[in-house]
Amino acid sequence: MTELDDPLGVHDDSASDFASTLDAARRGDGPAFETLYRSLNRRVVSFARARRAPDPEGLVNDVFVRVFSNLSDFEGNEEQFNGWVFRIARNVLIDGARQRARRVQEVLGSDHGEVPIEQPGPEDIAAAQIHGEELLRHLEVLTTDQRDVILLRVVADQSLEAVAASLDKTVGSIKSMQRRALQTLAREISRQAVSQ
Amino acid sequence: MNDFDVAGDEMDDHWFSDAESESILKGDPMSGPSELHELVGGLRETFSTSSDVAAGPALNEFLTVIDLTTTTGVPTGHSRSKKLITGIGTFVATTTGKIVLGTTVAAASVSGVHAADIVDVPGLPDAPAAEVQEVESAAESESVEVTETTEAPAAEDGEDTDELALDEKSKEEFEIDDEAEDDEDFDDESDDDSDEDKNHGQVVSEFARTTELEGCEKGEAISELAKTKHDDDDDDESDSDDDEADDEADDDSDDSESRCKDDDDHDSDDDDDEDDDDDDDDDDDHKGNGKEKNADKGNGRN
Repeated sequence: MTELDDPLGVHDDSASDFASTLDAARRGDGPAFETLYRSLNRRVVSFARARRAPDPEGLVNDVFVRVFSNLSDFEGNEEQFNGWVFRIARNVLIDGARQRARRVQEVLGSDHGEVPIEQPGPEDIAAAQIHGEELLRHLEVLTTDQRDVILLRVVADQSLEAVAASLDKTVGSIKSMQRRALQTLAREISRQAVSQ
Repeated sequence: MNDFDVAGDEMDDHWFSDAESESILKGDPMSGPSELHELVGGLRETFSTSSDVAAGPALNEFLTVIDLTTTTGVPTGHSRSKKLITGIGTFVATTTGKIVLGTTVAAASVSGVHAADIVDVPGLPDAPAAEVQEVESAAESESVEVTETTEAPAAEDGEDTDELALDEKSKEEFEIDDEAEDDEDFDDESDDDSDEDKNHGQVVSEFARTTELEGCEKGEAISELAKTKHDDDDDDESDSDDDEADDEADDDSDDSESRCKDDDDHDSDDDDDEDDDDDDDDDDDHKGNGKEKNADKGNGRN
């Protein structure tokens, strides 16, 4: 970044603040952990709710325990850190969905084929009563990655760089994915309007 | 079909550029179809959270951890108190902790009720303040009747105390207890001493009345006669410095000595001060014995 791009040096200050906070957290400083937690916990729980996590608050705790436990392994800037946190959140969500699917298979006692990752459970049925369920139903036409890109950009308010880090893809790939996701949603909405 | 494949119907009216996609995702109402805007806006409003998520115990371990690199390794007061409270809580959570806590609370409650004189619990001593008041009032009044009523039972109880002391204390302490036992007959001893002093005083007085000497010669003779008792006591005191029991006897003799001097009015003011000190000591002894006796009295109720 040149001086023309950031004439006031605000970005540099922010970057240095984040770097110092991250260093303090690596040394085990409690307030630094709290700063990192406060900067992201709301976004993570929003993303977890939009992903129909059975226990969004518990998921946030699990995610940050993993983040703080492996903080020494992380290298990068703030955007990459945010992407890393949401990558862990996605992994926790996927692990939870797989465990629930495994339990469903064990209860059924037979193999009914591949269980979708986001198979609605009792908690999901209860969550259908909220207003957001109708909105989420529109996203079911998207692939998992496309839906995560939309949710990370809209609900978790993440940048292209952070989303790219979360999904381990390039920024260009994310741009392409979000463009196609929006086109698919627009067509689906038009189709539903015509059918009604 | 993967995320990058182009579907057959993708090349239609619903085509957005990257810039338009960014505008739609950021909530710009001027770009894209309104239905898509409503969907994106609805998602943002519905799922965005404005309150922090409460940190659980595992996460709190990180949030309250101290900076080990900036401290000398000594835990802070906060962490120490936290560990202490955690330790106490853990202990109380155990069966032993509950028993100890319950016993302590019950004992404190019973003691408090007993101290407040609400309930007289056998086996517990009376309040110390009441004892001191009793002893002081007894010492100040110098009433024979009061002394007899307070010391008569204490003399018996003192023997019980001595029996306990015999089991628990050394021989030297036992000797001291013997003194205490002797002190229980303090009135008798003091009476003996006073009789002895009275005899000496009577001798001196009788000598003063019957002597044929006059003037300064009479005075010197009386003084010498009176001093004979004082010299005897001094000799006794020098011979028995090591023996505590004898020391106490010396106090008694000093007491009698003071009375001779008071009678004679021949000694200096300094000696009078010493005598006063001795008297104070005796008063202290009275109080001390009284306390012990009253304490014994309390034990005697058992």
